[in-house]
Amino acid sequence: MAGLTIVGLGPARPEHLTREAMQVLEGALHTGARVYGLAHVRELVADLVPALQVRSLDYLYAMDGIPRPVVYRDLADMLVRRAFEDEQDVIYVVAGSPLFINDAVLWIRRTCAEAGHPLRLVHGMSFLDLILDRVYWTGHQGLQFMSAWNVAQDGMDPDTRSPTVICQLGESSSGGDAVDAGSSTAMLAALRDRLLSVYPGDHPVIILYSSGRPDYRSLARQVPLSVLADEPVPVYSNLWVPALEGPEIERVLAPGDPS
Amino acid sequence: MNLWPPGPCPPTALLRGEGCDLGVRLLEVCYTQSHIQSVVRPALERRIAEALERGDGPAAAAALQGMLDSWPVAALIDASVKLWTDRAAAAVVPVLAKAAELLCLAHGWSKVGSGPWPMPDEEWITAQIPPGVRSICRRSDTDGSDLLEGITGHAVVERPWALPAVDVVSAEMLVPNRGEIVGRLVRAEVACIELVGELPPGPDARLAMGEVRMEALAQAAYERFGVAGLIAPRAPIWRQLLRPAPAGTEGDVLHQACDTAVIPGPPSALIQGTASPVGWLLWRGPHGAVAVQPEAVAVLGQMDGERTIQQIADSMDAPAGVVKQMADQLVKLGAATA
Repeated sequence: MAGLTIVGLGPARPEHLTREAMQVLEGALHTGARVYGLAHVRELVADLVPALQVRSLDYLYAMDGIPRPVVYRDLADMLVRRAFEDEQDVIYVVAGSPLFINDAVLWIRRTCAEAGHPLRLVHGMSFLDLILDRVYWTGHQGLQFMSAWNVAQDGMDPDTRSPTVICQLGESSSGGDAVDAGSSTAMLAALRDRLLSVYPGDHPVIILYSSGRPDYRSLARQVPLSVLADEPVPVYSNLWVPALEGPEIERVLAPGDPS
Repeated sequence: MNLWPPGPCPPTALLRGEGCDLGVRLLEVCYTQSHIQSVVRPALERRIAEALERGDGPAAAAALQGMLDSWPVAALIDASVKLWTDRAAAAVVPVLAKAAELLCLAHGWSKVGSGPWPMPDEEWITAQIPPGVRSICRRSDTDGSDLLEGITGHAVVERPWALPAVDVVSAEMLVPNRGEIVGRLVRAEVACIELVGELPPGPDARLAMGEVRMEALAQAAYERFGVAGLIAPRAPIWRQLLRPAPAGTEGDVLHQACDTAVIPGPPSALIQGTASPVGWLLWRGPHGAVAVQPEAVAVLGQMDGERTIQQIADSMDAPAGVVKQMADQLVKLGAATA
């Protein structure tokens, strides 16, 4: 049956996948749905449902000189067209939660809502759930969520009364272009300089990242803000910035999972 | 007797025409190890020399690249022709296509239809046609039958191959009609599109073409290999077939494990007009040519399976340490072995 389903796979480990997501992927084998995804998503799906063919969207990331917002809008239009004009059963598989930092999903939701098209959203665990296990967030003073680009380039200063998660430390544009780890220090330096205008140099910040394949353990290191840019960070890294006057526990690095 | 044209691509056993099939004749006569080694390669060597003499860098570069490719092509072509004719094996399409490029380069033949497939010259065609031909059978619009008609004067009769449908799309209509064009691909009404004209500049056309290539299984293969890509849509690209030669075995006494040549190059320098002598390691197997210093080729030429590296260095009046270093590298590259 024609329709459009967006499936969040969670942060990476198969055990973080919801049962609903697994049911959709296994069901696609029988319904003949057209499944679309990027490279890292295809690898994960290949582990979960090896017989399922996932059409590669990698070509969108190979198009130099086209701004990412244009690419994401095109992707969204294409998937909506495929489902509701070509009348195909379409499944768009994304990493993490579909609701976090995904412009294509935003456009799909908006387009479907405006056109009255049914859209099924299968939630996935977000990377935020995963990285918060290395800090102690109380919630007593709220939580801010920004991208490194927001702070370093858009001039958005965090409110120092609340803790802040700053995502996409190792990326190089507002569109989320990933750079290799060695090039991340330019973004870190810009971020550090902007944060130093509102936090002291000895403010303890925590860099949160993942060990990557295959076990995706949560890794973290705490540094004073002043040395944030002294070492590169992995591409998908995040920064925890405690509030200036917040609870002491929010400044503490939590131990990693012993397993 | 029927006469079948050389195109639109090498015929498989199921598609060969009864009578005189020039596509089959090409496979039998030109797509062979012996033809590549004894006719094509020397012709390419001559073309390199001629191009260098008249200062035509791009032509010299094309001929040099062709000559270097002739080693793996010669190694793979006989088995590839068999696999193609017996069962249209997708994996061998790049070998046939590379051989086709070499044939065009060496013989100065033009191409027939889309893809790299050769249209031999009149002399070759005439030499293949036996007495008794009555008509020419057209297998597709781009198979060269019109040219055959001009050469022989025989009438053309339609005998089209049953192939997946292809939409012919004007490049400037790709963006305005994108939904309709891709919709036909998605519903499998056509296997791919043939784009006519230059893709307009700007992101919309590139994004549309990206979607076409993503949705049409045969699109990339059709763009590379023409009708052969329709027959075998999963055909890989040439580079995917090549792998580094296996390393040799270390030892005190070595012998040569590949062919060599010293020719001005590399191709990029020929184009830029900055060529200098380059040594090439060339294998009779699915391995790309490797460029080395000409001195390494000289050292390799001395490896006779009897003399030690020290003796070779002495005979060349070269420092033993340098020769040993070169020998070690040549073993690692698979050019020399104990």
